[in-house]
Amino acid sequence: MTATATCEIAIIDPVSGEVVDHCSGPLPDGRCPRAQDGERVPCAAHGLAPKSGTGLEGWTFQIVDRDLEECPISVLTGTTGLSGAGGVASTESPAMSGQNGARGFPHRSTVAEVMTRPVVTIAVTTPYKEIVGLMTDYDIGAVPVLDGDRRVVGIVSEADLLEKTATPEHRLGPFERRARQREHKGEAAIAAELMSAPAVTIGPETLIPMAARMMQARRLKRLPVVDAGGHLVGIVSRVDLLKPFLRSDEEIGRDILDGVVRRWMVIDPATVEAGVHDGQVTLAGTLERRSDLDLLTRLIHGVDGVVGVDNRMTYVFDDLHSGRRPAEARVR
Amino acid sequence: MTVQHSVADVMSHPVISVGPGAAFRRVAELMREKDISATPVVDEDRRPLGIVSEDDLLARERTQATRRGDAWAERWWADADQVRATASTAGGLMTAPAITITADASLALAARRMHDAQVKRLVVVDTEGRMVGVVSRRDLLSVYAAPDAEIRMRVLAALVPRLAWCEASTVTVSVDGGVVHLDGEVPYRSDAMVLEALARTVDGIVEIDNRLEWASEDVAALSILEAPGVPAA
Repeated sequence: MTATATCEIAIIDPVSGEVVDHCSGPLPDGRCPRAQDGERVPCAAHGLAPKSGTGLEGWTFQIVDRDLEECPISVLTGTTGLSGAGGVASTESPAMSGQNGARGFPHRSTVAEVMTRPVVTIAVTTPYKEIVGLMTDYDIGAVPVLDGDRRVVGIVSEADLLEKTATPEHRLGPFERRARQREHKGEAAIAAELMSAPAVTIGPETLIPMAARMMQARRLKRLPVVDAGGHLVGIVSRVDLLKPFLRSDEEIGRDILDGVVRRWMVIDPATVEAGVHDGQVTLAGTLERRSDLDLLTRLIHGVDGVVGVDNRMTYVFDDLHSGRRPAEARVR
Repeated sequence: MTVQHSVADVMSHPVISVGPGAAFRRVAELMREKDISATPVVDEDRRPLGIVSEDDLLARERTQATRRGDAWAERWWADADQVRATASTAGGLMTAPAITITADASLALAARRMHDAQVKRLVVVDTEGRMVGVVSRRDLLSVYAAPDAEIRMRVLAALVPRLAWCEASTVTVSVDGGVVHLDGEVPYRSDAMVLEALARTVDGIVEIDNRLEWASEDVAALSILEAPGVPAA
């Protein structure tokens, strides 16, 4: 794969939602193609929407930093150049999907599968008091702010409320606290004044590791999920990203037998008994080769949701102590 | 370098903790000074008794405000005198018992325990039950913030035993933004499949780009790959 500059990205005004400019995407080394060294990037504080056919669909996002010096696409995806990002967007690697014939395994969870919906949202004109009420009533830490067309224009989090209106009460001295109380008695701040804008958003087809990288890199606790048009479809939080760890025993068992045993190791699943209880795997049965016992254990450790592996399997042929790998043992 | 992370690899430590007799005000100040959102409460042997979080502090103030029948604003900005007047101890404020996990546990087990107990963090204990750290949701996701060089070391650790086994000397591993690229040539197609599968077991990778080539096809004729699927365990 080669880095390509043909990916065209629309630069969107965060307020009007209109496309104001286009960009060819990051240079192969990850830098902005238009900003000179140390200069502000032209798309900073705007929305970005890669065009279809670029392998970056679903990556509509909005850039908060107003002082970016590097291409925000390479910052957000953690890749340099679009070839890496294109590889990320595919759900199957070339070897697994094509020539090696293991289509569809392992299942790679996307944001759409774990996000929370419907989402409690507010308008730019929603008053402070109502925002606090919603966050308390629904026990949520943040609310996306939508325009009339359901496009995300910002997000108000607990941190925004605390930072922009006050420090939490236990962090204030008695005098500060009284002053704050007076100051807020008659205040009628609205969402537009409180929100962080534009919000960093994410596309529904983004893979979970990618979303987690983005959240970690930006130190965010949640990301609004938007479609290609910037319309809100859900919200994804840290706890949502941990859902792959919580898969059911049935799903884990299926991945082990149909995925690891059959597709990866090319062993008849009927020869393996895999018991799964709360993510803990117990294996029984007999394998032909001793080397496969350890390999199977290692591979099962990599299946999402597996807590531990107790491998009680036996083997027929000790290929580990037969010197070189015997050719006849390879051909099954 | 181990292939997969245990709780010990991602937990926060050392941990700022308090005794059960610590005053509310002291706990709140400590959390502000150290910029932490929770602190475990431990006995003199460092065995966890409970945990005091920001939520506990806020819940306490909200309860008091509700009791006084204050307006919505004062639910948030409670009066300092009231706080002092009703000051209690960490032992009274904490959520107890502390939900714990051992340092050698897998991240999957930690995530399950957090989910089952509906908590945001766990106290990490050694085999004697003494606190050695705290692990939060954020810590569990920190595997995805690993630098490429670290991911590459973990992938190598996963592959090296098998590389020696399949006599492949030309495999190169490069990592770019969490995407693992495998290049080179291996003797059999099954080797290419197994190496990719092993690389996939490394925590924190985004995707595998398997560009391995093989000299001999050894799995094409096998009917197992064509099976429509097997029933779940």
